Amino acid sequence: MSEILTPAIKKTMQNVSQKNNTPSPHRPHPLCNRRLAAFRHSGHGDGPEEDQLFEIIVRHSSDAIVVTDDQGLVRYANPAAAKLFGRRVEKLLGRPLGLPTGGERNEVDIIRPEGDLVVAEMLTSRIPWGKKQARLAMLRDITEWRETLSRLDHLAHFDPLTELPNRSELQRQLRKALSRASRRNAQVAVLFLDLDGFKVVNDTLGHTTGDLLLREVAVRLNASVRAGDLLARIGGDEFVLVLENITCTNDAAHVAEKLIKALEAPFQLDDTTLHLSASVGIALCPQDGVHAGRLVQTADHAMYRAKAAGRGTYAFSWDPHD
Amino acid sequence: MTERYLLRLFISDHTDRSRYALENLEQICAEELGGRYELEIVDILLDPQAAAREQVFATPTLIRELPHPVRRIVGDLADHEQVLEDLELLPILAKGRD
Repeated sequence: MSEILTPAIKKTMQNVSQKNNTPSPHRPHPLCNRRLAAFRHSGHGDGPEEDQLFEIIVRHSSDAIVVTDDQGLVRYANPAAAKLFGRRVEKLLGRPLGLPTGGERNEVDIIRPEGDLVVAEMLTSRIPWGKKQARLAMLRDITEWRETLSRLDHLAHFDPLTELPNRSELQRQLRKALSRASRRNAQVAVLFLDLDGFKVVNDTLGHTTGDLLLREVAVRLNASVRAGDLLARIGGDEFVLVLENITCTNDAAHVAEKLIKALEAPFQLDDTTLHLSASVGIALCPQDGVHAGRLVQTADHAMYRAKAAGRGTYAFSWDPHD
Repeated sequence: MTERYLLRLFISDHTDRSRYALENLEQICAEELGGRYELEIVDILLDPQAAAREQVFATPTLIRELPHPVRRIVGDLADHEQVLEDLELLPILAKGRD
């Protein structure tokens, strides 16, 4: 594409610069002339002359094409550039865009006059401009593509129901937390919380009510943790809380009690009132291990100890009375 | 006498592109300018008038306000050598190192 368009732009620049009484730039590339000859011999020769042809290509390009001089002032802009920047071509010419940098590929935010931002991919190259050099920037609106990527990225790391980090994001953030703790010689607690009797809610009241309940549980748990604590939903009714910088096991126990208490008050979902409890298992780093997966697994096992002990309570991975 | 640079970076704070440009610029300043610079960050979302005043219509835009003449580039600043060259910092830097 660049092989074709670069001479095309040169030619268009030639037209523009001649109109502006500036020195004429280089002649079109010989390869370009051969292509034109081939184009004419292919039976399309009834079309526009060479001079007009490149101008038509550039003017009808869906990609924005901007040329700046060595001071970064806009010397050429095609209609697609006017559309992308939300300004008429004459409002762009002579304005200080700046020298487009970055070479192969770059992304910039275009600020339109109304204040909205458009994400654009920008490819730049140096081109001759009379006796000087100019910078060619080809830009393409990628706002929708970026938004889609952003949504996919969010979905890959966050639970869409509760907006909490999901299992893979928990693992990623927990690994970071464990690295920090290792450097500071600090303790980390992993609390594994499972709702008691949630399956019955789903089975009797349906998944819609179950989802509403999970959302409300997430809100209450979130309200019970400190800013900076990591709360994740890793499965159906399974939540994990990571506590950094705890000083003793009692800190973790205290937070577990707080979480359990937060879910004690009845849940009012539409016309249904639900009473719920939760069981919490606790694993500690470095006592129970230093690897993220292992700590979550250990806390999970401890949670089953809590359930076996009568539900609505918490348990460590080991019995503190042993 | 070693010249000092006044650099102004226009960003749209919440975007990855602006964060990336800022990281690049901080690295360039730390590695190439050795404390001989002042850096101003202008978030065009917080200060749209500044963007209008300076006719900034794309971010990231980096302006070398001092020494004169003013130089301006637009892009992610990933190519550190090109940033230095386009802002005409290399010759000054080379002179400073002599």
